[in-house]
Amino acid sequence: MPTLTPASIMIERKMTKTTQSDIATIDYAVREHRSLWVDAWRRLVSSRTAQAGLFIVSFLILTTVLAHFFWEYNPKTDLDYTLKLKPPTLIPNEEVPSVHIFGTDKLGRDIFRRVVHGGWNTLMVGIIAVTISLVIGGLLGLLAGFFESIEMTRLEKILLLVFLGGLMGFLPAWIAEQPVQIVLFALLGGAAAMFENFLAGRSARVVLFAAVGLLIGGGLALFVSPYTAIVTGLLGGLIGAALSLQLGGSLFSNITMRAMDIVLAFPSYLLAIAIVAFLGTGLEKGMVAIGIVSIPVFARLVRSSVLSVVQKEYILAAQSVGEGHGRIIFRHIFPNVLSPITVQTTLGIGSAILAAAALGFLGLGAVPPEPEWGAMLGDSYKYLSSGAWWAVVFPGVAIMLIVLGFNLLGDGLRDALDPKMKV
Amino acid sequence: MEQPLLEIKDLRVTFHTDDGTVHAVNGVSYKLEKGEVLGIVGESGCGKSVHALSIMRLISIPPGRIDSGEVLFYGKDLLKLEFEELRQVRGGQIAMVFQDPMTSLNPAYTVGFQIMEALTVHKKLDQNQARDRSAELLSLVGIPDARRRLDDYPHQFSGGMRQRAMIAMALSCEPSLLIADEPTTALDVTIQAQIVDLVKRLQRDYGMAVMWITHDLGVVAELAHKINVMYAGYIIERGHVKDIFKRTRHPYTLGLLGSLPRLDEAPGTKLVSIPGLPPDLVALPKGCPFVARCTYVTDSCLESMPPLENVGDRDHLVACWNWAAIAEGAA
Ligand SMILES: Nc1ncnc2c1ncn2[C@@H]1O[C@H](COP(=O)(O)OP(=O)(O)OP(=O)(O)O)[C@@H](O)[C@H]1O
Ligand SMILES: [Mg+2]
Repeated sequence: MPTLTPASIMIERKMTKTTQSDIATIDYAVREHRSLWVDAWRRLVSSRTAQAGLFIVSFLILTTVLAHFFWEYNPKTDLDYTLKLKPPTLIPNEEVPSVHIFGTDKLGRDIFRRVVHGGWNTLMVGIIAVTISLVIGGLLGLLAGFFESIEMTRLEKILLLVFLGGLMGFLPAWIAEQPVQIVLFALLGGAAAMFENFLAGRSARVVLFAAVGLLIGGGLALFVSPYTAIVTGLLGGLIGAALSLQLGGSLFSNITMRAMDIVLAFPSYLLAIAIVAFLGTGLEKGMVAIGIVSIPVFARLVRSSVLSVVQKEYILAAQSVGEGHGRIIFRHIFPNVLSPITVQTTLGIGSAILAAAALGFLGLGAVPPEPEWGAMLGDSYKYLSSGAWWAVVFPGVAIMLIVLGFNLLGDGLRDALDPKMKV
Repeated sequence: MEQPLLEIKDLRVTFHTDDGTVHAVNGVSYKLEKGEVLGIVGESGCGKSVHALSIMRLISIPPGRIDSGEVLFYGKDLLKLEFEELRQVRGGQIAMVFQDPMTSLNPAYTVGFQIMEALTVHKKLDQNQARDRSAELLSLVGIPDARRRLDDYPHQFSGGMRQRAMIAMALSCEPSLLIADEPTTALDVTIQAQIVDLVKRLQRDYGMAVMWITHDLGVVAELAHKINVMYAGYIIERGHVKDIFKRTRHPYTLGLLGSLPRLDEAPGTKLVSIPGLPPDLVALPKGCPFVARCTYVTDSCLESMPPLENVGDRDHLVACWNWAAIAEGAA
């Protein structure tokens, strides 16, 4: 039941009101001024977990970066059969005339040198793969979460449909080898959004756009071959029909998130291997594959953080004073999704490195003479039975250390950022 | 007659949820004149907030949808504006203050920063001008030592001060309509009275119209010129404060007034509450939505929803088939 207060009681109350300055002084004295990020940093450096993580990560990054820029190494010429599989040697002797603190591998290469240089590739994989999944997943999650409960403006709708048209156009354009189709499909998307009231009947609009899509998809491909034209024409028709439906915010979110669910349903390593098999081997391909596989993790994380912020009353208040969507996203939503993203990115680098090592081990990552920890393991595990433990242990320990470092740091960050903002 | 400041015509709003379609606002029409204070009362969930938010298209779309209606502000339909034009109205001409001052300010920014943001959306001011104006606004709403408090974070403000800051933000562009959605519900009674006074003063000084949404008939009696009583997404009675209190014609309003404690009654008199619950907005009954709780039910009540009829000589509207009988009973 509502609480009801008669006017006469209200009048009585006014006589006993606390003065504003009373409230102000008490308030100011009790609460201490502090900033969230300074606080979080303090918590981070005072936690043992985070200290350990920070130490390991910065040590490995530092050595790797220094080695990359100041310690020359050419993997293509590094070869010495006379030094094949020598155990760690600290004092040069007759058999091993140079120092090899980690020993040498099957081609007589110094493992220490290769571990230190391999760190660069490993870190790059981690960083680039996570950047791919962060940017794409973050963007999808942001759009899905934001427009799930905020009305899209006309311009935003046009942009979204142009983007979707272009994105969907990739497949037919790739099959027919007609890149211009991507632009045409993007334009079709824009048209769908701009002429939303052009044909009142929904089915009439679907038919019209499907027909135009069919022309775009099939027409250009006729130059290639009639078979291609049939395939891309059909694809184009489907794209046109999909665009004519003009995804609203909730439909877009639904479709995106279901697509993410599908990706997540595959075991991630298997999917990465499949993508590499499709793209071809190589370090860059491996980065892309690992990046794609973890897009859903970021998309879901960002969407759920955005959803929880969008429902806050201060977002409504910001809208009610006329702030635009861009400003709301950058000023109000961004700071709030930053901490879960920071944590996930840190943890994500660790798992991307592990995945890259797995690909390397399977021979799907770095191309041979390039040093990379996973590939080094893959190269050497066969010699374990003949007692060459050093060829496996050192790259293995390196992988373990860096993944451990990022995980400890991620956990520390989570603890440091988690105590929510005091409201 | 002069053009009203705001005229709402047959506004209908629904929410499309997994449990079905929630009919939150079901054909609301009324006018609001310049400088008028309109109270909107009704039980929780009767569509007060949704109807107010719909004026500036602030409801969540999706799942919400404005199915029909016009919201004419200075004769211009806000529901048909392009987003950029709508943004000029939001905060520039119509401002809103919300229920919970604890969450209407972003905890990550200083109060001053947020008021300056609101200012610079509509006005081209440089940093210093915006800061001066923000300090001015804060002291206008009664925050002492305003200039220094600009750099405080919301958690350093008390609830009442935050609500004052929200009002300062709302007033920053001198709107001609202020919509206050239960701005005092989350505050303790002393602070409530102060906020009511503040709005009253500002309304008088600036001549702005105010729409005050509340559960609290006491506040409305003190503040408003006219009252809309809402029930299940309908306006079921509307009129001047005097008419609503003295010539009540709708059984629901009678119930609300009956549940208002009076000082002239002997101490210890129990509140009379309306028995039963409001209807489910997903499956509204065919007739009047109040039938299940009404003591005056007749056959026509079960048949169809009564239209809003003028029952007095000055804008006193009632949606009840039996208002005449109730009027006789009261006389
Ligand atoms: N986002 C939403 N999704 C689904 N239903 C909603 C949504 N917002 C409001 N509603 C429904 O609309 C109806 C009206 O809600 P509204 O917030 O306007 O009530 P109110 O009169 O302001 O109540 P209160 O006094 O508690 O604030 C309620 O039944 C509510 O459940
Ligand atoms: Mg409400």
